[in-house]
Amino acid sequence: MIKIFLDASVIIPALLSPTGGSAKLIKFIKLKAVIGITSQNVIEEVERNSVKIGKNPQEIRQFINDNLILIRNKVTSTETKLYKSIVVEKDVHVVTGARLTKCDFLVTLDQKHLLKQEVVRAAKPLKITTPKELLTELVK
Amino acid sequence: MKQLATTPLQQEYLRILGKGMVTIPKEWRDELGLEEGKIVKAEKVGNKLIIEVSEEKAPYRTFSDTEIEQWLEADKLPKKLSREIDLKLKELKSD
Repeated sequence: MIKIFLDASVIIPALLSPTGGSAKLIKFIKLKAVIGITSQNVIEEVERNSVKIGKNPQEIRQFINDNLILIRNKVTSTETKLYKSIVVEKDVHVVTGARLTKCDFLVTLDQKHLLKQEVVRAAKPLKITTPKELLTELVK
Repeated sequence: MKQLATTPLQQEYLRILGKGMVTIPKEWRDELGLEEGKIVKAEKVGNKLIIEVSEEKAPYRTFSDTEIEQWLEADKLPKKLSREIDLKLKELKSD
């Protein structure tokens, strides 16, 4: 079964829009068709925006639990050291989390930092993709 | 987890194995939460080798309203794909 790592740019839209690709991808996790993983750091990123997105931290945690998303414990600065050359400092925890949890895909909507060609190339064998691209594969 | 700071100096003689590997005593590994795959900081100071367990949190990002709006826009699915996904999900539910 494929393992996917979700960053905040996927979890936030999934919380806000049930018809979007992120929410539908999370349904595949809930139905145990794929394994969904995130990290404590990503959850904290989402929670930091709780006022902005109109969801309190408890609702966010409930959403993660209800959808059977596994949470990797905090990625530390030491752990990110091996991946610092791949991506900018504030996003390195995402790539590190995906690599340490041995995920096949890192799913993100972050065009600016993670979906850049050079990052996608450097992160291999981890595949960085969007919910839409992964869903297209899943329905084939 | 036991606090090493409250215990006297702990020393062990370790044998260097092939390729410079050493086995850290199990009790120390358990106390320090050193699991396979975990990364630690190694430092050479004179004739001492210090292995440090760091739990410093990695820096992370906060997002602007514009970024969130852009994600929501990019997250929209074409109607055809959306229908195909719903059908697949229905199949999975009935399995």
